[in-house]
Formats: sequence, structure tokens, C-alpha cells
Amino acid sequence: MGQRNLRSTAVALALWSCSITAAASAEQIAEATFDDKMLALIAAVDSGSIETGDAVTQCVGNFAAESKTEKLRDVIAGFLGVPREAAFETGCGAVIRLLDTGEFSADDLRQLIEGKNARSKAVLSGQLLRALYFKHEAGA
Amino acid sequence: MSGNRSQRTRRSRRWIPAALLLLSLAACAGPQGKREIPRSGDVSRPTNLYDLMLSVQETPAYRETGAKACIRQAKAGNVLKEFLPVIAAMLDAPPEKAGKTFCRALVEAAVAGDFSEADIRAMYLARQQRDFRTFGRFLRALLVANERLGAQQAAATPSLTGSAGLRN
Repeated sequence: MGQRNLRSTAVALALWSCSITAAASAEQIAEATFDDKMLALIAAVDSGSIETGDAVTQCVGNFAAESKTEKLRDVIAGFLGVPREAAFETGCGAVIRLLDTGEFSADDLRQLIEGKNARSKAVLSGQLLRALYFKHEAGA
Repeated sequence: MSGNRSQRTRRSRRWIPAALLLLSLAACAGPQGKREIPRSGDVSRPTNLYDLMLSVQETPAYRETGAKACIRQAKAGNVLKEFLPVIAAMLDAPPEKAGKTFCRALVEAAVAGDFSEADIRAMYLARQQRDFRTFGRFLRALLVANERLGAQQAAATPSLTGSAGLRN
């Protein structure tokens, strides 16, 4: 593959990542609330203090209240092969079931949100994608 | 109040890269402003992954050559770079086989039609058209193709307890 093309791809990649982060910074305070809500939800599911159905509803509500998650909605819809309207419910349902069954640990999910090691988070992201796919397929 | 706000902002900054890591992966889509995928005409030297996928889809006989070209570039660190660990983990591949696993799945997905020609062209334009759904389908196609390759490999591997005589 041509070096020039690869260089332009790398530049495009860097620029795009920066533009996403810059756009996100305008809503950092609102996103912090979302962050808190997700961590609290993970803790509640982990301790068994919330019913599965309620946890899914809360998870969907958290995502639906965030405008920036619309892109993520599209990725999940494509990845799980569901209509975009059903993406959060399907994705949240699979994540909560993974937590319930211990197939994906609460610590790993927290690490994905709060961790500082980019490589560890990259691996956890891939593992979560894989687990989500199989959980969804098994339940579909 | 400002302490809480500062704490929230810091936490938010931790969340942003985690949640958007997946979205950043979509940056492997083609450069802005070009609508047609540039073609090299030589599968052993594709201009990019889209050219490679189209070539093996058009001529499945190029499958092995295409996979080798992709693996060569992955080894040189020219394919997806920092995002390869995400895809490798998704495909359940050890880090040292990340490039090979990704490339074989990519070629399989293209040849078998898990990712159609329209998908490949849409993926190339995904970034400028903000088409994240196509990117999700690309990840799904890679996973499906990789699982199929794994099943084929398992089926082709003779069982030690099979009829080869080891039971006696």
C-alpha cells in the first residue's frame, strides 16, 4: 500500500479522533453525569441490588439522554444487525446479561471507563465487542 | 462546587476515550473528498484495504496473494496500527497473530460476501458521510468470517481420537 496513502490515512485518523474529542469537550459536564450514572449502574448490577429489567431500562435511558451516543447507536446497530431504534436496548440487554452471568466482569467494565492504559482498554473493548456479539446471537 | 466540577470533568475525560475508541476505529475509512477507491491493479500491492477487498472479491483466486500482502503491511505496522489490538481481541487472537488473523478474516469476509462490494464502497465513504452503521457491519463481518475460518480449520484438523488408529 502506498506510503503517501498510508500517511494520509494516519493524518485523517488523528484529525478525526481530535475532532470527536473537541466536540465532546463542550458537553463535558453533562457527560460527567452520564459517567457517574453508568458507574453506579455497574455497581448496582454487580451487587445484585437491581433487577435485570430495571438495569436495562436505566442503561437505555442513560444512553438515550446523551446526544453524542447517536454515533455509537449506529455502530451497535450495524454490529449486532438490529434496527438503530433497537440498538441501545439490544446492546444494554446484552451487557447487563454479561454482567449478570459473570461472562464480563464489573471490574473490566469499570476499567474500560476509568482505566488509563490505552492498550488495556483497547483489548477490553475488543473483548466486550466479542462477548456482546455472542451474547446477542445466543439470545436472538 | 468547583472541586466537584473539576472532578466531574476529569472523570468525563476518562470516559471520552473509552467510549469513543470504538468510533475512532471508523477512521480507517477512506480520505475525505475522494469518492472512488483508487485501484493499483496489482493485488500484491494494493493502494489500501478497500482496493485489496475489491480485488479478492472480484478474483477469489487472489485470496492468498491478497492475504499475504495485507499481513506484510500489518507486520510493518501499516494496517490500523493502534486499533489492531481492539480487532485482535474481538477476534480472540493472541497479540502476535493480530495482523494475520485480521487479514485472513478481512479476505474471507470479502470473498464470501459477508461484506459486499456495496459495503466496501460505503465503508470507503463512511467517514465523510458519517456512516457509522456500515462500520459496525464491517466489524460484524470480520467476526463472522473469522469464526467460519476457525470452524473450517477445526473440521480439517484430524481428531486424535478419530479413526486413525490411536484408540487401539
